[in-house]
Amino acid sequence: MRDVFVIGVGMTAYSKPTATPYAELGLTALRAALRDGGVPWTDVQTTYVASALTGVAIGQPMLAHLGSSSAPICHVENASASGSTAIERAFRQVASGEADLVAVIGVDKPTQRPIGESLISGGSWAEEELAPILRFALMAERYSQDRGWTREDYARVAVKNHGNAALNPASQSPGPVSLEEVLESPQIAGMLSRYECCPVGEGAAAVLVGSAEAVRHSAGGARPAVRILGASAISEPFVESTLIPEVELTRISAVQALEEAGRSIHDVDVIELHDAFAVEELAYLEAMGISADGDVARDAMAGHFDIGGRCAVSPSGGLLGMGHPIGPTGVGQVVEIVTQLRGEAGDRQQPGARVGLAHMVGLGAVCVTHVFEAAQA
Amino acid sequence: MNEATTPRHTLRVTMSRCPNDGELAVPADTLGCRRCGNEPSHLETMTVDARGLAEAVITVNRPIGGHEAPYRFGEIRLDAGPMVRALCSPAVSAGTRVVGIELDESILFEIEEAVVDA
Repeated sequence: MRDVFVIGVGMTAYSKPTATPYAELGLTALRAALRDGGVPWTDVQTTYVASALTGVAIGQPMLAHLGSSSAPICHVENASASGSTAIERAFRQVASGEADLVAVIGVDKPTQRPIGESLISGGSWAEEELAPILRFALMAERYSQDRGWTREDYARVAVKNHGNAALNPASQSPGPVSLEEVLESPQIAGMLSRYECCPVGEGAAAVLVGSAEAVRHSAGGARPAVRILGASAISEPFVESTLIPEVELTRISAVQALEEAGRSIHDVDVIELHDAFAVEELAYLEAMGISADGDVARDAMAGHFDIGGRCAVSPSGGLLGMGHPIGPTGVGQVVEIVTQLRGEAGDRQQPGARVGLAHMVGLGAVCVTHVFEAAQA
Repeated sequence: MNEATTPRHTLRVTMSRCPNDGELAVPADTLGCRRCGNEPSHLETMTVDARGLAEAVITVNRPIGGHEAPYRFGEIRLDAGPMVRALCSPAVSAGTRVVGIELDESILFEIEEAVVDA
Protein backbone atom coordinates (compact mmCIF):
# COMPACT_ATOMS: atom_id res chain seq x y z
CA MET A 1 0.00 0.00 0.00
CA ARG A 2 1.35 3.40 -1.02
CA ASP A 3 0.97 6.63 0.93
CA VAL A 4 -2.04 8.66 -0.24
CA PHE A 5 -2.52 12.41 0.03
CA VAL A 6 -5.22 14.98 -0.48
CA ILE A 7 -3.61 17.31 -3.00
CA GLY A 8 -6.31 19.89 -3.58
CA VAL A 9 -9.73 20.86 -2.24
CA GLY A 10 -12.51 23.17 -3.35
CA MET A 11 -16.19 23.75 -2.75
CA THR A 12 -19.15 26.05 -3.32
CA ALA A 13 -21.23 27.39 -0.48
CA TYR A 14 -24.20 25.15 0.34
CA SER A 15 -27.56 26.86 -0.09
CA LYS A 16 -31.28 26.49 -0.61
CA PRO A 17 -32.09 25.41 -4.17
CA THR A 18 -31.31 28.09 -6.76
CA ALA A 19 -31.53 28.35 -10.56
CA THR A 20 -27.79 27.60 -10.89
CA PRO A 21 -27.31 24.46 -13.02
CA TYR A 22 -25.66 21.51 -11.27
CA ALA A 23 -22.77 21.58 -13.77
CA GLU A 24 -21.90 25.14 -12.82
CA LEU A 25 -21.81 24.17 -9.14
CA GLY A 26 -19.66 21.12 -9.85
CA LEU A 27 -17.24 22.93 -12.13
CA THR A 28 -16.79 25.75 -9.63
CA ALA A 29 -15.77 23.25 -6.92
CA LEU A 30 -13.56 21.14 -9.18
CA ARG A 31 -11.77 24.10 -10.75
CA ALA A 32 -11.09 25.40 -7.23
CA ALA A 33 -9.61 22.03 -6.25
CA LEU A 34 -7.42 21.88 -9.39
CA ARG A 35 -6.16 25.42 -8.70
CA ASP A 36 -5.60 24.58 -5.04
CA GLY A 37 -3.55 21.51 -5.95
CA GLY A 38 -1.83 23.16 -8.88
CA VAL A 39 -2.53 20.27 -11.23
CA PRO A 40 -3.95 20.31 -14.77
CA TRP A 41 -7.23 18.51 -15.47
CA THR A 42 -5.46 16.34 -18.03
CA ASP A 43 -3.37 14.72 -15.25
CA VAL A 44 -6.51 13.32 -13.56
CA GLN A 45 -6.69 9.57 -14.25
CA THR A 46 -10.17 8.80 -12.89
CA THR A 47 -13.05 10.99 -11.73
CA TYR A 48 -15.69 9.83 -9.26
CA VAL A 49 -18.95 11.79 -9.45
CA ALA A 50 -20.85 11.47 -6.18
CA SER A 51 -24.51 12.36 -6.44
CA ALA A 52 -27.74 10.87 -5.14
CA LEU A 53 -30.54 13.12 -6.33
CA THR A 54 -29.66 15.08 -9.45
CA GLY A 55 -30.06 12.60 -12.30
CA VAL A 56 -28.56 9.92 -14.50
CA ALA A 57 -25.16 10.34 -16.20
CA ILE A 58 -24.45 13.82 -14.89
CA GLY A 59 -20.67 13.43 -15.04
CA GLN A 60 -19.47 13.83 -18.62
CA PRO A 61 -21.69 16.79 -19.65
CA MET A 62 -20.16 18.68 -16.71
CA LEU A 63 -16.54 17.47 -16.92
CA ALA A 64 -16.38 18.03 -20.69
CA HIS A 65 -16.06 21.76 -19.93
CA LEU A 66 -12.68 21.20 -18.29
CA GLY A 67 -11.26 20.27 -21.68
CA SER A 68 -10.97 17.03 -23.59
CA SER A 69 -10.10 13.93 -21.56
CA SER A 70 -10.84 10.24 -22.02
CA ALA A 71 -10.13 9.32 -18.37
CA PRO A 72 -12.83 7.10 -16.87
CA ILE A 73 -15.80 8.53 -14.97
CA CYS A 74 -17.53 6.53 -12.26
CA HIS A 75 -20.80 7.73 -10.71
CA VAL A 76 -21.22 6.86 -7.04
CA GLU A 77 -24.60 6.80 -5.32
CA ASN A 78 -24.57 5.73 -1.68
CA ALA A 79 -27.23 8.04 -0.24
CA SER A 80 -25.77 10.51 2.28
CA ALA A 81 -22.45 8.66 2.13
CA SER A 82 -22.08 9.02 -1.68
CA GLY A 83 -19.20 11.50 -1.45
CA SER A 84 -17.42 9.62 1.35
CA THR A 85 -17.72 6.35 -0.56
CA ALA A 86 -16.21 7.98 -3.65
CA ILE A 87 -13.26 9.23 -1.59
CA GLU A 88 -12.75 5.77 -0.12
CA ARG A 89 -12.61 4.34 -3.67
CA ALA A 90 -10.15 7.05 -4.76
CA PHE A 91 -8.00 6.31 -1.70
CA ARG A 92 -7.86 2.57 -2.49
CA GLN A 93 -7.17 3.21 -6.16
CA VAL A 94 -4.18 5.42 -5.41
CA ALA A 95 -2.96 3.22 -2.52
CA SER A 96 -2.97 0.15 -4.77
CA GLY A 97 -0.84 1.88 -7.39
CA GLU A 98 -3.56 1.78 -10.02
CA ALA A 99 -3.60 5.57 -10.34
CA ASP A 100 -1.50 8.54 -9.22
CA LEU A 101 -4.16 11.23 -9.34
CA VAL A 102 -7.91 10.79 -8.87
CA ALA A 103 -10.61 13.46 -8.63
CA VAL A 104 -13.77 13.23 -6.53
CA ILE A 105 -16.58 15.67 -7.22
CA GLY A 106 -19.74 15.64 -5.11
CA VAL A 107 -22.62 17.63 -6.53
CA ASP A 108 -26.38 17.62 -5.97
CA LYS A 109 -29.54 19.60 -6.32
CA PRO A 110 -32.45 18.36 -4.20
CA THR A 111 -35.19 16.41 -5.97
CA GLN A 112 -37.52 13.64 -4.88
CA ARG A 113 -36.36 10.16 -5.86
CA PRO A 114 -37.80 6.93 -4.46
CA ILE A 115 -35.62 5.21 -1.88
CA GLY A 116 -35.05 1.48 -2.24
CA GLU A 117 -36.93 0.47 0.87
CA SER A 118 -40.07 2.29 -0.28
CA LEU A 119 -40.08 0.22 -3.49
CA ILE A 120 -40.24 -3.05 -1.56
CA SER A 121 -43.82 -3.81 -0.56
CA GLY A 122 -44.56 -5.59 2.68
CA GLY A 123 -41.37 -4.48 4.39
CA SER A 124 -43.08 -1.84 6.44
CA TRP A 125 -46.48 -1.01 7.90
CA ALA A 126 -46.14 2.68 7.95
CA GLU A 127 -44.81 5.10 5.39
CA GLU A 128 -43.62 7.19 8.33
CA GLU A 129 -41.12 4.50 9.22
CA LEU A 130 -39.10 5.56 6.18
CA ALA A 131 -38.93 9.22 7.20
CA PRO A 132 -35.46 9.72 8.72
CA ILE A 133 -36.70 12.41 11.10
CA LEU A 134 -39.03 9.95 12.82
CA ARG A 135 -36.35 7.27 13.07
CA PHE A 136 -33.96 9.73 14.70
CA ALA A 137 -36.61 11.34 16.90
CA LEU A 138 -37.25 7.83 18.25
CA MET A 139 -33.48 7.37 18.67
CA ALA A 140 -33.39 10.59 20.74
CA GLU A 141 -36.22 9.21 22.86
CA ARG A 142 -34.42 5.91 23.45
CA TYR A 143 -31.17 7.64 24.45
CA SER A 144 -33.17 9.84 26.78
CA GLN A 145 -34.60 6.76 28.46
CA ASP A 146 -31.32 4.80 28.52
CA ARG A 147 -28.72 7.53 29.17
CA GLY A 148 -30.75 10.35 30.62
CA TRP A 149 -29.86 12.69 27.76
CA THR A 150 -32.20 15.68 27.82
CA ARG A 151 -33.69 18.04 25.29
CA GLU A 152 -31.03 20.56 26.47
CA ASP A 153 -28.27 18.07 25.61
CA TYR A 154 -29.56 17.80 22.04
CA ALA A 155 -30.15 21.56 21.80
CA ARG A 156 -26.54 22.23 22.85
CA VAL A 157 -25.32 20.22 19.81
CA ALA A 158 -27.38 22.53 17.59
CA VAL A 159 -26.07 25.65 19.35
CA LYS A 160 -22.46 24.52 18.86
CA ASN A 161 -22.85 23.52 15.22
CA HIS A 162 -24.86 26.57 14.13
CA GLY A 163 -22.28 28.67 15.98
CA ASN A 164 -19.44 27.01 14.08
CA ALA A 165 -21.36 27.39 10.82
CA ALA A 166 -21.66 31.12 11.44
CA LEU A 167 -17.85 31.25 11.08
CA ASN A 168 -17.95 29.30 7.80
CA PRO A 169 -18.70 31.22 4.59
CA ALA A 170 -19.68 27.93 2.87
CA SER A 171 -22.49 27.18 5.32
CA GLN A 172 -26.23 27.17 4.71
CA SER A 173 -27.06 27.99 8.36
CA PRO A 174 -28.79 31.34 8.85
CA GLY A 175 -26.45 32.12 11.74
CA PRO A 176 -25.77 31.45 15.40
CA VAL A 177 -28.63 30.42 17.65
CA SER A 178 -28.95 30.54 21.44
CA LEU A 179 -29.91 27.63 23.69
CA GLU A 180 -33.15 29.48 24.55
CA GLU A 181 -34.02 29.94 20.89
CA VAL A 182 -33.56 26.23 20.20
CA LEU A 183 -35.58 25.22 23.26
CA GLU A 184 -38.40 27.64 22.40
CA SER A 185 -38.52 26.55 18.77
CA PRO A 186 -41.48 24.22 17.98
CA GLN A 187 -40.68 20.53 18.10
CA ILE A 188 -41.22 18.87 14.72
CA ALA A 189 -41.04 15.29 15.95
CA GLY A 190 -40.29 14.12 19.47
CA MET A 191 -37.64 16.39 20.97
CA LEU A 192 -36.28 17.62 17.63
CA SER A 193 -36.84 21.22 16.53
CA ARG A 194 -35.86 22.58 13.13
CA TYR A 195 -32.48 23.66 14.52
CA GLU A 196 -31.77 20.01 15.34
CA CYS A 197 -32.53 18.75 11.81
CA CYS A 198 -30.13 19.42 8.94
CA PRO A 199 -31.20 21.50 5.93
CA VAL A 200 -30.99 19.66 2.58
CA GLY A 201 -30.02 22.08 -0.17
CA GLU A 202 -27.64 22.25 -3.09
CA GLY A 203 -23.90 22.56 -3.52
CA ALA A 204 -20.69 20.95 -4.68
CA ALA A 205 -17.35 19.94 -3.17
CA ALA A 206 -14.25 18.43 -4.76
CA VAL A 207 -11.02 16.82 -3.63
CA LEU A 208 -7.99 15.55 -5.52
CA VAL A 209 -6.45 12.39 -4.12
CA GLY A 210 -2.96 11.40 -5.19
CA SER A 211 0.30 9.59 -4.54
CA ALA A 212 3.54 11.09 -3.19
CA GLU A 213 4.64 11.21 -6.82
CA ALA A 214 1.58 13.30 -7.71
CA VAL A 215 2.30 15.64 -4.77
CA ARG A 216 5.84 16.19 -6.06
CA HIS A 217 4.55 17.00 -9.54
CA SER A 218 1.85 19.38 -8.36
CA ALA A 219 2.48 23.09 -8.50
CA GLY A 220 0.59 23.27 -5.23
CA GLY A 221 3.57 21.56 -3.60
CA ALA A 222 4.10 24.57 -1.38
CA ARG A 223 0.83 23.76 0.41
CA PRO A 224 1.00 21.59 3.52
CA ALA A 225 0.15 18.04 2.44
CA VAL A 226 -2.52 16.03 4.21
CA ARG A 227 -2.22 12.27 4.23
CA ILE A 228 -5.13 9.82 4.29
CA LEU A 229 -3.98 7.33 6.92
CA GLY A 230 -6.88 4.89 6.79
CA ALA A 231 -10.47 4.34 5.78
CA SER A 232 -13.42 2.05 6.32
CA ALA A 233 -16.53 1.62 4.18
CA ILE A 234 -19.11 -0.87 5.45
CA SER A 235 -22.78 -1.76 5.04
CA GLU A 236 -25.29 -2.86 7.62
CA PRO A 237 -24.93 -6.49 8.64
CA PHE A 238 -27.79 -8.25 10.42
CA VAL A 239 -28.18 -6.30 13.66
CA GLU A 240 -30.38 -7.44 16.56
CA SER A 241 -33.47 -5.24 16.80
CA THR A 242 -32.52 -4.21 20.34
CA LEU A 243 -29.58 -2.25 18.83
CA ILE A 244 -29.56 0.85 16.61
CA PRO A 245 -27.91 -0.06 13.27
CA GLU A 246 -26.36 3.36 12.57
CA VAL A 247 -24.66 3.35 15.97
CA GLU A 248 -23.29 -0.17 15.52
CA LEU A 249 -22.01 0.72 12.03
CA THR A 250 -20.27 3.78 13.41
CA ARG A 251 -18.61 1.74 16.16
CA ILE A 252 -17.29 -0.86 13.66
CA SER A 253 -16.26 1.63 10.98
CA ALA A 254 -14.39 3.95 13.37
CA VAL A 255 -12.43 1.02 14.81
CA GLN A 256 -11.51 -0.21 11.31
CA ALA A 257 -10.41 3.19 10.01
CA LEU A 258 -8.41 4.03 13.14
CA GLU A 259 -6.77 0.62 13.10
CA GLU A 260 -5.66 1.05 9.49
CA ALA A 261 -4.44 4.54 10.41
CA GLY A 262 -2.52 3.23 13.42
CA ARG A 263 -4.15 5.90 15.58
CA SER A 264 -6.46 5.97 18.60
CA ILE A 265 -9.66 8.03 18.82
CA HIS A 266 -7.82 9.97 21.55
CA ASP A 267 -5.24 11.11 18.96
CA VAL A 268 -7.95 12.83 16.92
CA ASP A 269 -8.00 16.65 17.12
CA VAL A 270 -10.88 17.36 14.75
CA ILE A 271 -13.92 15.34 13.64
CA GLU A 272 -16.48 16.01 10.94
CA LEU A 273 -19.43 13.80 11.80
CA HIS A 274 -22.83 12.80 10.37
CA ASP A 275 -25.05 15.03 12.51
CA ALA A 276 -28.14 15.03 10.28
CA PHE A 277 -30.09 15.13 13.56
CA ALA A 278 -28.63 16.48 16.80
CA VAL A 279 -28.98 13.21 18.73
CA GLU A 280 -26.65 11.54 16.22
CA GLU A 281 -23.63 13.60 17.27
CA LEU A 282 -23.76 12.42 20.88
CA ALA A 283 -24.64 8.83 19.92
CA TYR A 284 -21.83 8.50 17.36
CA LEU A 285 -19.22 10.22 19.55
CA GLU A 286 -20.11 7.76 22.29
CA ALA A 287 -19.86 4.84 19.83
CA MET A 288 -16.41 6.06 18.72
CA GLY A 289 -15.29 5.88 22.34
CA ILE A 290 -14.21 9.51 22.60
CA SER A 291 -15.51 9.83 26.17
CA ALA A 292 -15.43 7.55 29.20
CA ASP A 293 -18.58 5.41 29.45
CA GLY A 294 -21.65 7.56 30.07
CA ASP A 295 -19.74 10.85 29.96
CA VAL A 296 -20.31 12.11 26.42
CA ALA A 297 -23.17 14.52 27.17
CA ARG A 298 -21.27 15.90 30.17
CA ASP A 299 -18.12 16.31 28.06
CA ALA A 300 -20.16 18.12 25.41
CA MET A 301 -21.60 20.47 28.03
CA ALA A 302 -18.07 21.13 29.34
CA GLY A 303 -17.03 22.29 25.86
CA HIS A 304 -14.70 19.39 25.04
CA PHE A 305 -16.09 19.23 21.48
CA ASP A 306 -16.05 22.98 20.83
CA ILE A 307 -13.40 24.62 18.68
CA GLY A 308 -10.51 25.00 21.15
CA GLY A 309 -11.73 22.02 23.18
CA ARG A 310 -10.03 18.63 23.40
CA CYS A 311 -11.44 17.56 20.00
CA ALA A 312 -13.35 19.99 17.78
CA VAL A 313 -16.43 18.23 16.44
CA SER A 314 -17.90 19.58 13.19
CA PRO A 315 -16.03 22.91 13.19
CA SER A 316 -17.52 23.44 9.70
CA GLY A 317 -20.96 23.52 11.32
CA GLY A 318 -21.61 19.90 10.40
CA LEU A 319 -24.70 18.78 8.55
CA LEU A 320 -26.85 20.81 10.96
CA GLY A 321 -24.99 24.03 10.26
CA MET A 322 -23.01 23.77 7.01
CA GLY A 323 -25.89 21.83 5.45
CA HIS A 324 -26.46 18.47 3.84
CA PRO A 325 -26.76 18.58 0.03
CA ILE A 326 -26.34 14.73 0.08
CA GLY A 327 -23.84 13.93 -2.74
CA PRO A 328 -21.28 16.59 -1.76
CA THR A 329 -21.63 16.27 2.01
CA GLY A 330 -18.89 13.72 2.66
CA VAL A 331 -16.57 15.53 0.26
CA GLY A 332 -17.25 18.86 1.99
CA GLN A 333 -16.29 17.23 5.30
CA VAL A 334 -12.89 16.38 3.82
CA VAL A 335 -12.51 19.93 2.49
CA GLU A 336 -12.98 21.11 6.10
CA ILE A 337 -10.64 18.51 7.63
CA VAL A 338 -7.89 19.35 5.11
CA THR A 339 -8.37 23.08 5.72
CA GLN A 340 -8.09 22.44 9.47
CA LEU A 341 -4.99 20.23 9.17
CA ARG A 342 -3.33 22.83 6.94
CA GLY A 343 -3.99 25.38 9.67
CA GLU A 344 -5.97 27.54 7.24
CA ALA A 345 -9.41 27.50 8.88
CA GLY A 346 -9.21 31.08 10.19
CA ASP A 347 -11.76 31.89 12.90
CA ARG A 348 -12.84 28.27 13.22
CA GLN A 349 -9.31 26.81 13.38
CA GLN A 350 -8.81 24.06 15.95
CA PRO A 351 -5.44 24.99 17.51
CA GLY A 352 -2.66 22.52 16.74
CA ALA A 353 -4.89 20.17 14.71
CA ARG A 354 -2.78 17.26 13.42
CA VAL A 355 -5.18 14.29 13.11
CA GLY A 356 -8.69 14.47 11.66
CA LEU A 357 -11.54 12.02 11.23
CA ALA A 358 -14.49 12.22 8.82
CA HIS A 359 -17.60 10.08 9.33
CA MET A 360 -20.76 9.66 7.28
CA VAL A 361 -23.75 7.39 7.57
CA GLY A 362 -25.93 6.76 4.52
CA LEU A 363 -29.45 5.46 4.29
CA GLY A 364 -29.50 1.70 4.01
CA ALA A 365 -27.53 1.85 6.22
CA VAL A 366 -23.92 2.27 5.19
CA CYS A 367 -21.07 3.98 7.02
CA VAL A 368 -17.76 5.45 5.83
CA THR A 369 -14.93 6.74 8.02
CA HIS A 370 -11.59 8.30 7.04
CA VAL A 371 -8.60 9.30 9.17
CA PHE A 372 -6.24 12.07 8.03
CA GLU A 373 -2.97 13.52 9.28
CA ALA A 374 -1.05 16.67 8.51
CA ALA A 375 2.12 15.41 6.83
CA GLN A 376 5.36 16.78 5.48
CA ALA A 377 5.44 15.44 1.92
CA MET B 1 -62.29 7.32 14.85
CA ASN B 2 -65.66 6.46 16.33
CA GLU B 3 -64.52 4.88 19.56
CA ALA B 4 -67.91 4.69 21.25
CA THR B 5 -69.77 2.62 18.68
CA THR B 6 -67.18 0.56 16.81
CA PRO B 7 -66.10 -2.63 18.55
CA ARG B 8 -62.37 -2.86 18.14
CA HIS B 9 -60.52 -6.12 18.00
CA THR B 10 -56.89 -7.03 18.33
CA LEU B 11 -55.43 -7.35 14.87
CA ARG B 12 -53.63 -10.55 13.97
CA VAL B 13 -50.60 -10.10 11.77
CA THR B 14 -48.48 -12.41 9.65
CA MET B 15 -45.03 -13.26 10.98
CA SER B 16 -42.30 -15.20 9.19
CA ARG B 17 -39.91 -17.59 10.90
CA CYS B 18 -36.71 -18.93 9.39
CA PRO B 19 -36.30 -22.66 10.18
CA ASN B 20 -32.50 -22.31 9.91
CA ASP B 21 -31.90 -19.71 12.59
CA GLY B 22 -35.29 -18.94 14.13
CA GLU B 23 -35.24 -15.34 12.88
CA LEU B 24 -38.70 -13.76 13.23
CA ALA B 25 -40.04 -10.89 11.13
CA VAL B 26 -43.20 -8.76 11.24
CA PRO B 27 -44.42 -7.89 8.67
CA ALA B 28 -43.53 -11.34 7.32
CA ASP B 29 -40.34 -11.43 5.28
CA THR B 30 -41.21 -12.17 1.65
CA LEU B 31 -37.74 -11.78 0.12
CA GLY B 32 -35.48 -14.04 2.17
CA CYS B 33 -34.08 -14.29 5.71
CA ARG B 34 -32.12 -11.16 6.62
CA ARG B 35 -29.89 -13.10 8.98
CA CYS B 36 -28.88 -16.21 6.96
CA GLY B 37 -30.20 -15.56 3.44
CA ASN B 38 -32.58 -18.52 3.48
CA GLU B 39 -34.87 -18.29 0.45
CA PRO B 40 -38.42 -16.98 0.92
CA SER B 41 -39.99 -20.30 -0.12
CA HIS B 42 -38.26 -21.90 2.89
CA LEU B 43 -39.61 -19.42 5.43
CA GLU B 44 -42.55 -20.45 7.62
CA THR B 45 -45.40 -18.03 8.19
CA MET B 46 -47.85 -17.83 11.06
CA THR B 47 -50.28 -15.30 12.46
CA VAL B 48 -49.73 -13.68 15.83
CA ASP B 49 -51.53 -11.07 17.92
CA ALA B 50 -50.41 -7.50 17.30
CA ARG B 51 -49.80 -7.10 21.02
CA GLY B 52 -46.80 -5.90 22.94
CA LEU B 53 -45.02 -3.13 24.83
CA ALA B 54 -44.45 0.42 23.57
CA GLU B 55 -40.71 0.99 24.01
CA ALA B 56 -40.36 4.52 22.61
CA VAL B 57 -43.10 6.90 21.47
CA ILE B 58 -42.97 10.41 20.01
CA THR B 59 -45.45 13.10 19.08
CA VAL B 60 -45.17 14.20 15.44
CA ASN B 61 -46.25 17.80 14.88
CA ARG B 62 -46.06 17.89 11.09
CA PRO B 63 -48.16 15.87 8.62
CA ILE B 64 -45.24 13.55 7.83
CA GLY B 65 -46.45 10.45 5.96
CA GLY B 66 -49.76 12.11 5.12
CA HIS B 67 -51.26 11.94 8.63
CA GLU B 68 -53.01 14.83 10.22
CA ALA B 69 -50.71 16.30 12.88
CA PRO B 70 -50.22 15.99 15.73
CA TYR B 71 -50.07 12.21 15.92
CA ARG B 72 -48.18 9.63 17.96
CA PHE B 73 -45.66 7.21 16.47
CA GLY B 74 -43.78 4.50 18.29
CA GLU B 75 -41.55 1.48 18.45
CA ILE B 76 -43.48 -1.53 19.72
CA ARG B 77 -41.83 -4.73 20.93
CA LEU B 78 -44.38 -7.41 20.04
CA ASP B 79 -44.87 -10.23 22.55
CA ALA B 80 -44.07 -12.52 19.59
CA GLY B 81 -40.56 -11.00 19.45
CA PRO B 82 -40.11 -8.54 16.56
CA MET B 83 -40.01 -4.76 16.96
CA VAL B 84 -42.30 -2.72 14.72
CA ARG B 85 -42.78 0.99 14.13
CA ALA B 86 -46.36 2.16 13.81
CA LEU B 87 -48.93 4.82 14.57
CA CYS B 88 -50.08 4.96 18.17
CA SER B 89 -53.13 6.47 19.83
CA PRO B 90 -52.65 9.66 21.89
CA ALA B 91 -52.81 7.66 25.14
CA VAL B 92 -49.78 5.49 24.31
CA SER B 93 -46.39 6.29 25.85
CA ALA B 94 -43.18 4.40 26.60
CA GLY B 95 -43.86 1.45 28.89
CA THR B 96 -47.54 1.14 27.88
CA ARG B 97 -48.97 -2.30 27.05
CA VAL B 98 -50.57 -1.95 23.62
CA VAL B 99 -52.57 -3.87 21.04
CA GLY B 100 -52.86 -3.14 17.33
CA ILE B 101 -56.26 -2.39 15.83
CA GLU B 102 -57.23 -1.76 12.24
CA LEU B 103 -57.30 1.85 11.11
CA ASP B 104 -57.97 2.74 7.46
CA GLU B 105 -56.46 -0.55 6.24
CA SER B 106 -53.37 0.17 8.32
CA ILE B 107 -52.60 -0.39 11.98
CA LEU B 108 -52.88 1.75 15.08
CA PHE B 109 -51.60 0.71 18.49
CA GLU B 110 -54.01 1.46 21.31
CA ILE B 111 -53.58 0.95 25.05
CA GLU B 112 -54.54 -2.61 25.96
CA GLU B 113 -57.46 -1.68 28.26
CA ALA B 114 -59.19 0.28 25.47
CA VAL B 115 -59.69 -2.74 23.24
CA VAL B 116 -62.69 -5.01 23.89
CA ASP B 117 -61.06 -8.41 23.47
CA ALA B 118 -57.77 -7.44 25.04
